[in-house]
Amino acid sequence: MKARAILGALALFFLSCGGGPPRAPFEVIVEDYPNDAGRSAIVKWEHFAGNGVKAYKIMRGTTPDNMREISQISVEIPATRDKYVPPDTTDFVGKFGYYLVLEGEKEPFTAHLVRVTPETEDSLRKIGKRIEKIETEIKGYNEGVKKTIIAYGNFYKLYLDNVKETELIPVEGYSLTEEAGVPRIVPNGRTPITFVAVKKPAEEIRFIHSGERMAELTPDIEGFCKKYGEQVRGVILEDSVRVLVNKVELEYSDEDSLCPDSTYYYKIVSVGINRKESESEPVSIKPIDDAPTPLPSLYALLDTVTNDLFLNWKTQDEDIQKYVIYISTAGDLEHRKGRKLLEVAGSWAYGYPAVVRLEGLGASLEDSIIYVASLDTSGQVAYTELSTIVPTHFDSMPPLPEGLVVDDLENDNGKKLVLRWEPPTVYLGYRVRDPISEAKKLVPKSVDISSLDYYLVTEGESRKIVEFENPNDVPEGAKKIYWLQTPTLREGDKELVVLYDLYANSARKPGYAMLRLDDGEPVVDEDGDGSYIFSGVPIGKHKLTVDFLDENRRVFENPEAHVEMEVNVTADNPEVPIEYPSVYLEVARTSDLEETNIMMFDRVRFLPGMLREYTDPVDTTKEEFKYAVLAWDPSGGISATPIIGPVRRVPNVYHTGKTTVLIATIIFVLAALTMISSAKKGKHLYIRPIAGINHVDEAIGRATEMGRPILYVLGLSTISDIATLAGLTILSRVAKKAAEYQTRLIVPCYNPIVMTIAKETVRSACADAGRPDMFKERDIFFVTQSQFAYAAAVNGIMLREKTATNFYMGMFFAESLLLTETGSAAGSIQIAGTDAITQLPFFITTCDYTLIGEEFYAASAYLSQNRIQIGTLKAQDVLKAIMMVLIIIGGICATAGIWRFVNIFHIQV
Amino acid sequence: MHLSPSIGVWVAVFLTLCVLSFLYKDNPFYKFAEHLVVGVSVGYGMVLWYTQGILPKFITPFFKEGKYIYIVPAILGIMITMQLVRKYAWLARFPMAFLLGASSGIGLPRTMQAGVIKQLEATMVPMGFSRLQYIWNIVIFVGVLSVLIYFFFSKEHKGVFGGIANIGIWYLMIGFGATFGYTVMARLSLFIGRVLFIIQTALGIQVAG
Amino acid sequence: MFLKRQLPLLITLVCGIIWGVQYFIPHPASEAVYSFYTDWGLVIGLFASILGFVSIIRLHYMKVRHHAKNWQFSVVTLSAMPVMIVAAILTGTESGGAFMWLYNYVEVPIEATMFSLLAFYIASAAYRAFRARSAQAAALLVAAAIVMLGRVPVGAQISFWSHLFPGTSIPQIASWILNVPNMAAKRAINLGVGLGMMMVSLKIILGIERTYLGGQE
Repeated sequence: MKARAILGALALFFLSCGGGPPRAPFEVIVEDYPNDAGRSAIVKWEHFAGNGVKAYKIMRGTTPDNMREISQISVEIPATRDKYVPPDTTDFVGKFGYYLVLEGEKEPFTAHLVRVTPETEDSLRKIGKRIEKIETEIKGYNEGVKKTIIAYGNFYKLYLDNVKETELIPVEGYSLTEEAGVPRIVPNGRTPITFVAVKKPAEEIRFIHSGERMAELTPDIEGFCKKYGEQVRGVILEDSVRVLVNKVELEYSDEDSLCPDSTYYYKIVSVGINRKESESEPVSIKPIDDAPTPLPSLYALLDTVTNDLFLNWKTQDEDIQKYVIYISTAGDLEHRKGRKLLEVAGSWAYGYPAVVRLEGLGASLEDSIIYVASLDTSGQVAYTELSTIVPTHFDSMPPLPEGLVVDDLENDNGKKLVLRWEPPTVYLGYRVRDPISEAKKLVPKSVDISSLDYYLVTEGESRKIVEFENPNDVPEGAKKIYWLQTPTLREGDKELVVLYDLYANSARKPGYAMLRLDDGEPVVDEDGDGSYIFSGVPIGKHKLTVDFLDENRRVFENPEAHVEMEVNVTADNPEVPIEYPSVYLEVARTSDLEETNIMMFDRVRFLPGMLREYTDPVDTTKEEFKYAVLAWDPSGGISATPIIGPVRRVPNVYHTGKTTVLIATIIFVLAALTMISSAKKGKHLYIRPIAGINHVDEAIGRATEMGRPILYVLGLSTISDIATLAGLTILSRVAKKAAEYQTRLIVPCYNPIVMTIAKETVRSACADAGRPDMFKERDIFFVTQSQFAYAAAVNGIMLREKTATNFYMGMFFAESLLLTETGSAAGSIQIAGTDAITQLPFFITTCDYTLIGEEFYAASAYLSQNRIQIGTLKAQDVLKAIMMVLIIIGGICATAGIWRFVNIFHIQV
Repeated sequence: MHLSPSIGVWVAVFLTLCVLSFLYKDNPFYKFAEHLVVGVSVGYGMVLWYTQGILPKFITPFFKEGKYIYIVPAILGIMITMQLVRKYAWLARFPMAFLLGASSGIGLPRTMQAGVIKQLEATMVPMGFSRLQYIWNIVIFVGVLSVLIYFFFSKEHKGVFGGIANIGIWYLMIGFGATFGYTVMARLSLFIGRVLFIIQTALGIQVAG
Repeated sequence: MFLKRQLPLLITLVCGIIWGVQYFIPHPASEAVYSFYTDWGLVIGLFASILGFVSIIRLHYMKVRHHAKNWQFSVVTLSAMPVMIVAAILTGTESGGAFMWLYNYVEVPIEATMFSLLAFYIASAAYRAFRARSAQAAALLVAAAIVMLGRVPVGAQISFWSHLFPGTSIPQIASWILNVPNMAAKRAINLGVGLGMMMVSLKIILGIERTYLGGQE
């Protein structure tokens, strides 16, 4: 048995370890991290998908000999697991004969693609290898591949079926009509023609006409390859050698761990699927403390009411120690004439707006020029542009939050207040991109107009289609048009990535976005991650509609929750980012309930304009407050809401979000009490038999017959764990039986408190059985609180005491298999009970009987045959029945879209 | 091959081999390692009991910070240790009652929320035949219901009821098999880790390249 | 008698109700009640640890004193403990000292090796499961085999049929098994376990379950 086990394990070991080590990573370089204090660096290297590497380790040290691992990156092992593997995209290119010639001394080689002709075949055979298959996706397993080589190459597989003799050129603004049976080109300003075909010079045609189906990408055919081709990731040569030719750049940012001006060495270790490793040569860097980036967009506003100067800029670098604000005069481009006004610590997080308010200075500064210098930790400086100070005015009133309400925050411990306003709003943007996978198939609808006299005339950057009836009028360089391709591309169209952002206050219980393209089916974005992709979108203009849904999947009624946008999908992959309002909101608060001038309130927090809620943590000890919200726009416009309040913060006594739990618990307790009382009244309650429980007596009897002791393991958890308590309850029954049969019971314990209880339990069980002398205190003892030391000790006990019966009742972890295997090797009968789902499979396969989860808890009721205990068991059944009904109703509701019911069970604490 | 100069590594190797010898059969080397690890781990536990337990959690608050209220749990703790003295062992019931009552009270609503309601919510998903995920949702739905029926204690497993419970057993077995298989490979890598430790760290034989 | 028998049950009931209700109340007073349990329970547990230490010392001491079987090894256990304590006192508990050396080169290797023995035990448990007694036990075995193969490269390599039927390679079937039937079984067990746990908690609070008090004195 042992031998088999050893062999089996060794077999598994070698299965996962077979093969040679992977290749070391290529082209490892390390660069200084930009805009930092010299404490970070970026390491980059190249990875070829399918090269058998599952992870890369990044090592760093101050000398090349003394490096240690600082991080690890896993790479996707292509197409082995959960992802859909597209249909076979390899291809036989035998008919056209391509050879691969590798150049270079060692990997990575440079790969050259050569198409063979009968004359060149012999000499090519000497220097290269014939390509048998090309792969546009690398699969995780090798179809008979004997070896893998890595080379740089940029090859495309071309689909040339639909390319005519002539090149296709895009021109916009024309479409095709048929007039009296004759196609005519009409400029209509609406429908762009994607391509026109013109006659090309002979050499260019030859390339296409020769029927080659693979090409190495060069700049002059780059557009063509990308339009009609698919990138090759690997080729398989005639001797079943795979060459990987497509690389991915990987990088790792080592942040905040270096000292500037010290030299560091890095190397990358590739970890293969078989766990073997190889490493690159070390590279070194001295990180540089970069000078700060000049700050863009400094706003300087003068609050004409309070005379406060209000400055706002966007932080850029991470290592700014302080900002110094200077007042200067116009024309001070060298930033020399500034008079220092104030120094501020650089405490804002990177990328956040910095806001500074200088009180009362404003009046003297009107018409001044201001600039801000940022100093980093090593004293390097950068400056903003010179800005004029703009006085605020109430002429243009930026929009204020509608429906502003200030409340005590619900369900909290009384420290916070919350400001909420309307309306729920959707912000939209989009990005057009080429589809990620899938071969591009062009299905052009084209019309042959070679019999007509249309020419493509190029004027500078633009192209026009002109009809020349007289061939002599055709200008130089104009090309005759042979056919037109109308623009609706079918498959292989673009993907539209919709970017959305939903803002609503939490009292509205917001949910999801529902998107709809043109007149298609509306779709709810279930994962709510802010983006949704529409595939197969033809080129042209489309209508995108997005609705904001609440948690019951109903659309919010206000107009901002329903947004329509015209999306222009064109070949050049446009991007329209989400546009947020440029208004800033400022929350003002006071605890002085007599104050009526908003400008005298404390300015608590600055918020971007798209938020709809703010939770104020209120760090003071006062209890009542008044609030107002100001809106600023960058041109100086300011407006303010009326004062709201006073609002008092209140510690809440009941958490409304937990109502479902409360009701469920009450139902639970009522069900239990009802069944218990009907049990007490003497009603007979049926319980079905369970295998493991019935054999307990039998197991104890066996131990008695053999004259060997019983081992009872209570598990490896504390007394607060319900599983341990259930184990103790069963121990009580087992101990009683064992005392009756006069069999020795050994209970090694993992936890001292559990040991204490176990002792008392066994003692009183022996007394109940009428045999108090059977209680042996030394047989119930504490072993150790260390998992495997405990397992080792218990194994020792099993073997030395030769226990006939082993009980495992409680909470177990990884050591479960160690215990049960040793027990079964010793020939004991074993009964286990646990709720540890991860260990149940091991118990089931190694023990004679196992109590699974709830059966384990039911066991104490069974073994006692006590009416009340059985009553609780029935109560559990009642509740299970209720749960099953709820699941059925819930499933029906979810399928039918009735989310109100399902949301009852959604608890937000 | 480059033998490690560290004596600690060789001690570790020796003890590793002692434990591995258990695979062959129980022997004095294994017994030695077993008793040693019990002693060392209890000793370690004792030290940590002081440095991370009693010192920061009781001695410092009580004696140094003057939080005299800590006398109450101290008294309760002493009551529990009265277990050692037969005559006063019954005193241990009071701290036990507090510990168990409180932990049961804490556990009940939390188990209801996380163990029951959350699981119920997760099962209420759309089903149908329009999307692949919806078809699988039907399979999950059937599985959950049939396993719950298997665990029903009030009715015997006969007839239609027994048939459904039988389906539940299939689900259980497949589920356990999956967990078993999933854990196997994780365990295996641990073993490989030990072997590599011996080969690479102690003996200095580079297995990679 | 009330003192010894009823009072503890009353304490349990009261504590159970107080801490059960605590969950629903966000008030700071309620937070204080919760931390009261965590802080005090910790201290009580620390005192109880003393019991454990005494128990194990007593056990091994008795073995040595009465020259029970394998008593020599108990000497090892008994001497290891003061060695650890002295090492901690002399060299501190920071890494680099003798205390952590003993931990890292004695306790950790032994425990790690024991853990790794599992690899062998699993193989022999799998062998035992081979003798599937019923169709359902065979299902367990097959599911285990598929999931195991799905996690190594071999599994994908031998899935020759997945050319014809995309999406049916062994790793993908393994993933389906883990996410569909396994998920269903787990959820149902968790529901049952949750119910059972709550019932035991309720039984303790109501005083139906009294084992932890240790007997009916």
